[in-house]
Amino acid sequence: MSLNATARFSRLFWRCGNPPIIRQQAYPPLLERFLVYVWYLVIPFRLFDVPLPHFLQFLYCLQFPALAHFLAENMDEQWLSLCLDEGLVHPTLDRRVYVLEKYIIKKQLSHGERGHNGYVPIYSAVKKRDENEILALKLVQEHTSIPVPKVVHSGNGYVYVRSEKITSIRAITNIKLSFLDSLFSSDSRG
Amino acid sequence: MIVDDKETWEKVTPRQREAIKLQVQGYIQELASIPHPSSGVRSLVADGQLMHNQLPDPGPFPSTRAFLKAYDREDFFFGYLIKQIDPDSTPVFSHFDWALSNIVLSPNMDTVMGVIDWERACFFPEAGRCVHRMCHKLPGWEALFDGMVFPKDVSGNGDGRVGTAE
Repeated sequence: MSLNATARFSRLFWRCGNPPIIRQQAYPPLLERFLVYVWYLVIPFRLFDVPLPHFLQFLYCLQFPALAHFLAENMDEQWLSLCLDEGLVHPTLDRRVYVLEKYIIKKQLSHGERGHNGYVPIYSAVKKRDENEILALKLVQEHTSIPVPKVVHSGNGYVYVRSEKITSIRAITNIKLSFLDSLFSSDSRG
Repeated sequence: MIVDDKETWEKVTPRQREAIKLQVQGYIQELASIPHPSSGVRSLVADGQLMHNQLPDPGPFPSTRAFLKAYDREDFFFGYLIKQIDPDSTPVFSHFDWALSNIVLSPNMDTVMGVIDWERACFFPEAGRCVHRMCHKLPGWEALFDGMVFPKDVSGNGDGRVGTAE
């Protein structure tokens, strides 16, 4: 085979997309490779329903702090976007409490925001109480069999999301009661 | 279902009340057996301050005796508090707000399905028995801690975990 023929043959392969080495040299796929890695990471976690905080922790361990930070911020926005007035159930004192289909979100009032009848919360105290509650729930789950809500996401100091799994919504007049009731359905225990 | 007012509580039969009380007492004992990660009267946050509105000095306190000393004031409320707590009792983990509204009951009101609002949880002597008596006056419920026994420090420091205190 002449040199010309070899070159033509190579070009043919190129068109067929066959020689991977040449393609990699032509298009360094750094971003592509990164996205593929992310995809491989995300899929198993989504399949096995790993809670987001664990997934983010995993990403940090794998030296992907920027990605973890990005996902966390994104999740905060997603949770906040669910906080609609339709789900607001309590007269607001220290926080707003939103009841969603599967979750309850406790959202601290932002600075300057007033509660029910102009109530002014001590913002720093509310934040501290939320932190304490998250730590307490973890401790209780680790050491006892007491049925407590699970914290599925705590974001950016102002959103706290809690347990899930509704098996039945009972016909109780007060919506607050019916949803709290469902938090402790047999599915979500332990 | 949650009982958050006197009217609903009055609909609960004495047998049901007893069943709920026994179950919650079991929880209180379970919580009291959680090992203290540090020592003293404190909450779980880094600065250890207590979160209860009725306790103006949030601490934290290195021991039960230090807590009692801080609240040894010329005040009826705190005088009552001091009298109720055994100085030798050791701080144990407690929900610290056993209001009925924080206890989720089954629809037939026979069993407790869950406990919510743990924001005030802390390590407190006798699991906060005295504070419960002062804050929760629904008939029968103020006696939630009656007959319960809690750890006592025989060395007298109030921060160990030996013996029991009633």
